Amino acid sequence: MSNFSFISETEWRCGCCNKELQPRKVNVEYMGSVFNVELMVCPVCGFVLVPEDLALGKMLEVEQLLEDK
Amino acid sequence: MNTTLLKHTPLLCEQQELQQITGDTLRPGGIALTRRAMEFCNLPARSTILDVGCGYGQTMALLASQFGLAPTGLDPSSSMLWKAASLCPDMPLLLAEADAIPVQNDFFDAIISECVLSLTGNMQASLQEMWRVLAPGGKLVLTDIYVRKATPLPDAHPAEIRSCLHGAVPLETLEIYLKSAGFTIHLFEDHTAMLRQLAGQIIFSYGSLAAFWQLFLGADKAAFTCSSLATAKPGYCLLIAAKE
Repeated sequence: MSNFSFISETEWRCGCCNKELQPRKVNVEYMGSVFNVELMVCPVCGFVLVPEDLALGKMLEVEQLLEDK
Repeated sequence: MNTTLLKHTPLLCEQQELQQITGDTLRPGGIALTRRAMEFCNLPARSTILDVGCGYGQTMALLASQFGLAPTGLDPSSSMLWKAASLCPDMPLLLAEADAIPVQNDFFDAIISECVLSLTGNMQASLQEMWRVLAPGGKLVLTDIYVRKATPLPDAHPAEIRSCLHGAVPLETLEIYLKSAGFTIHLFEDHTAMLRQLAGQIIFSYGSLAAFWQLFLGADKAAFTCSSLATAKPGYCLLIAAKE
């Protein structure tokens, strides 16, 4: 099994609710496709933290895949 | 290609790492593409239909419950058929290969084979066998992976794991195989977006495509597999043909 995860302890709190973020599976819509990803989420309002390595790393790999060049 | 060797290597679709993403349908597109194909075919209720490579029986259950058809399942994996038997307890199941279907000529009103033909090891023999057991006027529904650039994929996939990427051929080749077997093609639709959706989900779930392949292969072979697949540019399609 893979040990890969975007879940990690974070000091970020939800700005609106002032709650600690918790791991949760969310649907990420990206370039016309929907992906199920486990990310840190505010348990009250559903705010999702997109970590830098996801935004700048994995998103790029998926983007290259979806571009169909 | 060593067909005997391939038939005894583990299947990628049987690995829990892939099943966690595809669910029990074990293929890109899931039942959405099955529904699309059945709506196009518009088969009369109680039509007999053979599911070649029925796996866990998800498609058979759908065909019976939502389209009123009478499915028979065929799969060379006894473990898959065991699970199919619990999902579809009243439906006939055949433990057999696609290129040796233990059924008389002209028997089925339709055949469906989803992401399986390229797994069979002998696509031409399998198509000829499907033609034989299909009744005149019967429909053949295929979904499968194809390659947009001919690349030696079998060399890129050593015997540690076997997937439908193994035997994928260019669309032109698949068309020749179908016509050679006697089929007339009625519909072709490209659904490569469904394959990319699956690949993208693999990246989000396992970190990268290379990391996913490394679950089954060594690091070097996983990297070679990724490189070969990037060159081959796999696509995914729905084909509906008829025995006329």
